[in-house]
Amino acid sequence: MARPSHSALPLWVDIVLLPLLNIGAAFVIAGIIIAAIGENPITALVIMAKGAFVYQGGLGYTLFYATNFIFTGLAVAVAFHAGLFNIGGEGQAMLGGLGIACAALVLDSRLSPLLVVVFAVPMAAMFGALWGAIPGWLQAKRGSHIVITTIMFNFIAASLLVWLLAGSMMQPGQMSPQTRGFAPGVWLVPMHAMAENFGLSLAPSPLNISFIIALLLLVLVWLLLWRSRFGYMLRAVGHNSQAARTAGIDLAQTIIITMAISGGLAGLMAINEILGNQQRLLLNFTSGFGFTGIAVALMGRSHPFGILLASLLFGALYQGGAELDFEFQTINREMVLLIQGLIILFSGALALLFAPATMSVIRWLEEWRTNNKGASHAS
Amino acid sequence: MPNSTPRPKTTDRDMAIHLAGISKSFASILANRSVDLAVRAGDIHGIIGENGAGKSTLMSILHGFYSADAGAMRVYGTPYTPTSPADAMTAGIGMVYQHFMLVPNFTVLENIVLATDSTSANESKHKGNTLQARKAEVRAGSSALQAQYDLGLDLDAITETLPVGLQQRVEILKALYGKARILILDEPTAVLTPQETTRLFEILARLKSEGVTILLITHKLNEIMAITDRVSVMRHGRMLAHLDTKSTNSDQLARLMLGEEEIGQAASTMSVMGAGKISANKMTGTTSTPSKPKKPSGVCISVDGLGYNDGRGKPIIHPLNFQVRGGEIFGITGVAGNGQSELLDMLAALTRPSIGRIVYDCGDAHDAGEANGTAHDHDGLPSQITISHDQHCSVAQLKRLGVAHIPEDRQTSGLVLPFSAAESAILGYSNRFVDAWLPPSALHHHCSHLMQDFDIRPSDPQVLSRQLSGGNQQKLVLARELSAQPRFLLIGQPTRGVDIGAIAFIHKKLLALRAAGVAILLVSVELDEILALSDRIMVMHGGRNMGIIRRDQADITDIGLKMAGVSKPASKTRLAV
Repeated sequence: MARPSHSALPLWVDIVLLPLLNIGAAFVIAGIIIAAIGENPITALVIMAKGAFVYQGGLGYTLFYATNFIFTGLAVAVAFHAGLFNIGGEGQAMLGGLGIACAALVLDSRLSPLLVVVFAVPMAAMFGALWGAIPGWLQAKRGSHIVITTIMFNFIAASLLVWLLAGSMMQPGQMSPQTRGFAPGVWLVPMHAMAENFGLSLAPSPLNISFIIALLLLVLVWLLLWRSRFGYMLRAVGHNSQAARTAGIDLAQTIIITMAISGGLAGLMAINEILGNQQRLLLNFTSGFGFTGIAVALMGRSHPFGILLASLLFGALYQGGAELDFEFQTINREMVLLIQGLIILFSGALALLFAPATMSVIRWLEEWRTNNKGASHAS
Repeated sequence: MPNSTPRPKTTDRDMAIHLAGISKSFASILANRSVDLAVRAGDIHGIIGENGAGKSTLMSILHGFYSADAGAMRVYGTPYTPTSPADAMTAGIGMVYQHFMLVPNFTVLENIVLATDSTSANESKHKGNTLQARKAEVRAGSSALQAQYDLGLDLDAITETLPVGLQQRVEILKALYGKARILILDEPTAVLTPQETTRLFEILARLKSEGVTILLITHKLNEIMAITDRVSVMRHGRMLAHLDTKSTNSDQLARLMLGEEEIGQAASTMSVMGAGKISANKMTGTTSTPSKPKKPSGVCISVDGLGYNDGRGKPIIHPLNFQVRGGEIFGITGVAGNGQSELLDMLAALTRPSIGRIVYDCGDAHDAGEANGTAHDHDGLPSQITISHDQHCSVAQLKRLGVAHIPEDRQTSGLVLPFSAAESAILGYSNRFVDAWLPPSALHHHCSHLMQDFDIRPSDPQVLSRQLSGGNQQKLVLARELSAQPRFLLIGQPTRGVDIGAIAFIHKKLLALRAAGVAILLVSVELDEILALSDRIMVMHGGRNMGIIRRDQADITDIGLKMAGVSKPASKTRLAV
């Protein structure tokens, strides 16, 4: 999948100025809509910002959600560099949760909690990887389009979870579709609990070490893509599969491994939600984070640093949006979805909307500067 | 300008098409240079020339697809300045492109409705506005034309289910329904079987008898001789001759088409006709024959009964037999699209042969076991690889054996254009770097070495591959493949779209490799290049080996006739050298 080439733009314009303009435009339009339903957009914006960063625990929640977005955004980005559009983050994350549940429910009565966690985290990645590798295999060997198969695998994963959680894995004597809670201690310790050990007092939030793992993965993915041999082959396949094939790169193998890595990253989202927050497997815990990962990757230009920024933005929107819902009668969660949608629209579909105008402004500024210089030299 | 016997003066009205001084350039390439052409009404007029001679450009100008930079056109005596193919249709000019412009899942009738709807401006009286009414109207008109020209099409057949020959007739019917009185056919027989070709020619003769003027673009001499009344020869964008078919012969046409004069004079001066292309011989500083090679070593590449069929089982390459020795350049020439690309793909392990086999032999371990087709030397690395329909071999395995491949199209197959030069410089060789990591400094270092050795400019490893000029891109691919010190080199169209300086450089490198004992298989449509570099030359036509000729015995007329498919394919006995 070729990304639009706009090499004429200076790098800082491409990765800083344009995204800011796009977000700004999205907020302006959202503000107009909020004004139209009779609320003050400025107040709404302030409440949102406060909810995301200032109120007790707000920042913790923002970072907690951002963690989910980092995992799923990276998953989409890695596949994207190989020319593959992985829409299956949602299903891969569900399978990741299933992997954790399998490890935890079987082992938590036999092993120490720490060991269980040490098993459960790789299980999340492995289950997700499997769920990504199968569509990868189908694409590489059978020519089934990855977009279609990954979407279908989302449905299969959802059905599988319903079947298991309403069946053999359901907590006995319970009516809701979820497993029993994991044994005490089988979790990723929340940050505020850890901070207490150092005598710091943080507002309670589900933010846990998954955030640190996510940050590490940002670096690892960057290394993988731009410093490793496999990443090189992956990008060669993504940019020009025919040249890659002519050069002797095994396309099928590259596609399958890439999709396994992508699925594994999406699967790891479950460690944040399941091990970090719920300590049990329940239905719909992915709640759209897998899909929003596509927007995150798009907005972050499929670069780890961009994904970090986009994840923080989406995390803040998610948390701030909850606050809006709480504060206003007329604004509900759907309004936040609307703002997200606008941001996706402007930074995805209309990413280069402002590029021509920006370019001419920059050119005009440059001319003006050289003219001024010329003038000052002359005088 | 060689011309035929004087003919009775014709008036302007008798000329269906009259072109005067048509010129067209694309960027720096002059595709047509002051071309004149007069086509009598009711004639079948052939235009012949090598690939890239400018035939298709000229026809696209006539069809309104391009506009000429200079010159004037008249159709039936009326000045004609088309700005789109719709204008051409209005003027009564229809074109059948080499690649059909049909909607595959439409019926024949629907395709004709589609084509006429877009040009309906000139059809004043529409009987109905509904699709049903349109269809009925077109059906009536088409049926009449079908009967008149004996086309034999089922109007309700789904287009994609028809054989290629019938699809072509749909194109012809489309043009006729659009009231075309002049029909241009661009390489119409390229995709046809001999039987379909015969049938097409019958239809063309029928059209002619009904007064339709036909322009036939081709590079096949026998077709020209078989069906045309007049023939015009193009070379390097110029119109060289207009001849009556009756008063010429294949031999004369081949000489004109391939520019024997140019090659004959290569050592001394450039001929006027070849001004656009400097002879390769001159540039490399070699005379007509490359310096005698050291005694060629053993057979390195042997091809036995190698053939390839396309997906529908149609043979693209008929079984080929040849050998390439170490220290030899084996040149394969022919008009583009006669099986050379498919052959190269099979040799490079990109497509699987349908029959026969290819053996790459390093010559180190002849006596080693050959039970599984792969012999091994002392280090456990294979010293011989066999490729056949059942014995697959990966590109990576071939690379390990020492086979380098410089593909015909550097942009789609040789480079990753968005990659930096440093990244493109290790494509296919990334495993030569330490383990799993690619340190940028090592890439940079590697690339700047290559850039120095091969004089690639700008010599900045960070420059993007797409920002390099054609010549420098080709040098980068060459540098990459040669830096692996191959024992075998497969190289396709090494100098296509490359500037003169780079051509000389690339030729020099190839000759140096030959001196070093590398077995080189060179595929090129540039006959000059083949003659300048090759020790032996194989001519391909229609996927067949038309004969293998030693360079010192090469005769340009003979090669030309072989390229045009006039000579008989080589018999088995002539293959041994």
